Amino acid sequence: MEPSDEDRRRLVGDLLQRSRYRRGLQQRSDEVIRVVLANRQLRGAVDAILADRDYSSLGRIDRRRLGHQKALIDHMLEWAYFASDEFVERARRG
Amino acid sequence: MAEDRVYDYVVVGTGAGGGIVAHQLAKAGLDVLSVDQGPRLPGNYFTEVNPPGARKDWGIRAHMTFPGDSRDALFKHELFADRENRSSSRSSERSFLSYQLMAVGGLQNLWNGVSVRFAPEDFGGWPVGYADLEADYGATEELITVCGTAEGIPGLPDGHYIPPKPLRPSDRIVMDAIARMGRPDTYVIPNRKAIETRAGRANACISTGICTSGCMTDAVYKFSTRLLPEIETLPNYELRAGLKAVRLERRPGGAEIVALICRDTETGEELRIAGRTFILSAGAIETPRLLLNSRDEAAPNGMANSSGALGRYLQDNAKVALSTALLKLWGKPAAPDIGYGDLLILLSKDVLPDGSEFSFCGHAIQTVLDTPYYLEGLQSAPAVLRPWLARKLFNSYLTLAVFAPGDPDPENRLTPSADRDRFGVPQVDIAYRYSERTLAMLDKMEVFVRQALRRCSGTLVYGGRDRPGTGIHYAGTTRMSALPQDGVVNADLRAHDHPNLYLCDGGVIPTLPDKHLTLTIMTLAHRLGRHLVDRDRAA
Repeated sequence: MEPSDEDRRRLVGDLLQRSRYRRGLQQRSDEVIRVVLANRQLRGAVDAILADRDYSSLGRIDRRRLGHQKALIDHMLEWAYFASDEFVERARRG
Repeated sequence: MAEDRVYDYVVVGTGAGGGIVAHQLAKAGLDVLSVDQGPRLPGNYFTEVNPPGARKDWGIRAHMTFPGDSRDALFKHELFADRENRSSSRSSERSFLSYQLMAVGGLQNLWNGVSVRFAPEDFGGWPVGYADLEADYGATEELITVCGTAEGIPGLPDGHYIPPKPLRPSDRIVMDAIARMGRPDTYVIPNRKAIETRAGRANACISTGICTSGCMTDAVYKFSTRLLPEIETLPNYELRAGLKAVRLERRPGGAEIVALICRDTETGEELRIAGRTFILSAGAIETPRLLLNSRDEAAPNGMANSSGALGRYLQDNAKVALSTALLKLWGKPAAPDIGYGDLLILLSKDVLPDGSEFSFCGHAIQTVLDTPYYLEGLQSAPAVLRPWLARKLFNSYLTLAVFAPGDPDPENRLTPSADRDRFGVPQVDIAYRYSERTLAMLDKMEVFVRQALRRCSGTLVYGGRDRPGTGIHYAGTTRMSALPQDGVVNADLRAHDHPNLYLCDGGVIPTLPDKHLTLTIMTLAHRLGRHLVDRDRAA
């Protein structure tokens, strides 16, 4: 069954809350979620996690089966932080 | 559907050549129609719809592969034509990556703006020389506004310039390092680019760092924002976007072209546009494709092809691009004005194992790393250290990219393909390979760039030679020649075989030197426009 957008948003929101970059991204969580879901590849990773039996029953992401998908979304969160205006401005100061 | 009107001049394409020649003709009061396959981009395209770098959605677009690599910024822009829209077949990708942009302004929508003159020695084998083009070079530079400095270098003639952006610490490091290499005939000077650098102008450069993802202020020259506004309200000028040129039609039993057959890209309707003079400026891949697709009983191998040279001698500047982080700039703040990325142009020579000499040309690029492709390189560091490391390295990245001259080989060529584009128009197959000479030049250039980066305090060097076609300086496929048996057009860019057909894009350049060709295409277009205006007045 196709996951709902609500499920997708909730999953990305959960991952953002657990990310080491949550402080830098929290204020933009809606934007982060929108960008993840608009990208075919990232959205596919979200759907793969949602379709997993462990996640649907226990809310747990099995690293063995879904490590790649989780790493991809975590990497996007890191990317968004490093690409943010705030980080770029700070980095340009050296 | 045939239209009743007969235009004096029908210009196909609105890029480097088509834009300049249409402007020349229309400003002189002549009756001109420009047609372009693509749409006119909305005014907010590069500010809101698809701004450069990470200014929208942190650079993560809907259809991009994430995380991609830094070359994506150059080669994966959504404006580049896809397989269904472009001139070349799918199988051509194996040997040559061809980049086209189907929108008013063509490839100049993503143009880097480098505008250098060819040197007198670059015109070997051409039916025209530097002296024939010198005045038009100057007029074109003034028309498009080129920043730069006069340097008196024999291999890179000076032009008419506005001031460039100030050099940055990284530029000084590169200049000093290459000077210390002590190579003869090697120069590093402020780059020459068609950019409005003068503060206070509405379209002044706002120093975003790089131009190849589009310019937010229209500081970089392109027809649609600079010259089109001057002529689009004239009663004698018309631009039709979304009209794909399919083939030419000639007068039965004669050599004269009488019509251009087009297809409306939205409705699919076929249109017949009649004209007295036709100018094809659709680029070195699309123009020969149009001529090959215009074959008829009298010209079974394509129009303007009695020499057999049509589609042959395809050239591009093979290139080497290497990047590194400069130790001397670790932890340093960014320059107060990052400018337009590549503030330096370099010129050098080397000798091949067979003893022959060749020259190469390139630029030093330092930009704002707002799209963090560098993160891939930091993945081996602990996550907690990455932000600190990134800040240390942020202003230290430098790329040196150098171009080899083209190598005119008749077997590097376009031929009609069985594949068709989404409009049902036959595409072309491209056969292309680097010659032994080109490969030897790439080896030499790579050694030079590695040495230069090391002298600049470069650390880990990555990158290498790029695949054929990625220079995006396509030339040679409708070559200019003094004699009809040697090429497609004469010194006036008129087809040897057709009295009222002119070609004006990179295809007419018979021998591509190491230098960026766009200013020379525009200069040839300026010269053609002047010639046609004079001819019209005389008549």
